[in-house]
Amino acid sequence: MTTYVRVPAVERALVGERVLVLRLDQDTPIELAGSAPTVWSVLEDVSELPEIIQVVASIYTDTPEVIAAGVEEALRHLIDANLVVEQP
Amino acid sequence: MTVLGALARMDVDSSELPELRDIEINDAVDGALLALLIQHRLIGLAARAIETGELNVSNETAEAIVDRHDMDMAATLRIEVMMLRVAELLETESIRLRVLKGSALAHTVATTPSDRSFRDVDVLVRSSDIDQTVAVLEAAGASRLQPELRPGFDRRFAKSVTMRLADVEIDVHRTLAPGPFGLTIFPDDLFLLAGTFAVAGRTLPTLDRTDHLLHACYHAALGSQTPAMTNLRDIALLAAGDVDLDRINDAVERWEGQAVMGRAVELVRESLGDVLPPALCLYTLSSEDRSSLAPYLRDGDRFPALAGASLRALPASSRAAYALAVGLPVGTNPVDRVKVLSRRYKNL
Repeated sequence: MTTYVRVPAVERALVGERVLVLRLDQDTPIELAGSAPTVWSVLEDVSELPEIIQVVASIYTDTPEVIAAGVEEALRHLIDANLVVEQP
Repeated sequence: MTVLGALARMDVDSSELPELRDIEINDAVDGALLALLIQHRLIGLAARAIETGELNVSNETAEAIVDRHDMDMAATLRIEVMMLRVAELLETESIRLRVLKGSALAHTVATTPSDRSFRDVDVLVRSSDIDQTVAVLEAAGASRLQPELRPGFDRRFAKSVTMRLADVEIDVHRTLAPGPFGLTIFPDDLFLLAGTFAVAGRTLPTLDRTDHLLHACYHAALGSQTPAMTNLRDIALLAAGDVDLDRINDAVERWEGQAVMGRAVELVRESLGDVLPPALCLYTLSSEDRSSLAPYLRDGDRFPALAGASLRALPASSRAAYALAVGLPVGTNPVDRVKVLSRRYKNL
């Protein structure tokens, strides 16, 4: 099963439930907003998509479909930002 | 300004003192607040207080504080990455270190790391390791801001060697303070116990909480005439936790730091109110203490006064070497000497 792994990075919470993340090999931090900070945080403990969705669903009250779509969108954003590596 | 004291007291037990949410902020205070928060490095606390509704400022000021916090955190992260790199470089060479101040306090003492920004990397190494530490960092591309005054000066007398790598300042400390009070510290005491904190999955060594409190007091008392409120808050937060007051008393006696502690306690009480444990408040300042602090509290260039006081604090056997290094640094001619020494006062 595909797993999603965070790259080594430092981070700080910002006002408005945003998170600033800086990869250890980069110089410019990336700001996470919306559902990305939650997924980023969840990835510290779990790495497979069903687990990620399950943990996020325990936090929010949206329908499973909405949660799953939000998680997948956040994962795509984190992968595009080179903060998460997708491992088959 | 009352609001600054209340901000700096956040999360510290101070039930007798005004709370932030009860303080009225008029237009004049609102207009001046951002600059003062920057000066006292309380932006992180103010941003959190805006979010929780404890700090009621105008929308314009709130936006400016949040923007500034975003900027501070971006800079802080870059410094934290450099701290990880420095720690890795030193540990690869088996050089023992303790991360000091900013990042360590943000992760171990602050309520949330985002409360506390910092401007440089501070590490403490043993005096016997400072030359190798500088060499390791130079090999990695760092450059020191000032050359060593004379061979052996860093190891014997300097407070720290300030270096720069990729636009980040790195302070390699040998002791906790400049001048005579730095020279009477036994820096190896600070390697007897250790604390740790984790960043990006790595565990880093730092001072244990009691030693952090001693350092915070030395930094606030001797660093400048008017220390930033964040430094006084560090003292209040550290003192509110589990610290070994007997060990503090022993260290202060051994390091001859009574005046330092007296001034630190006085500064905290003046700015934050009665937030310290009664046992710490036993440290007060005598007139003799105030005299011994005078070289640190001068206006303008404090180098000559600190150098003179350092010379008097040293054992007779070290005075000639110190005087020669300070009075006639390698590579300077008498015409340039005064300018060079003024820039170097920080490393005394």
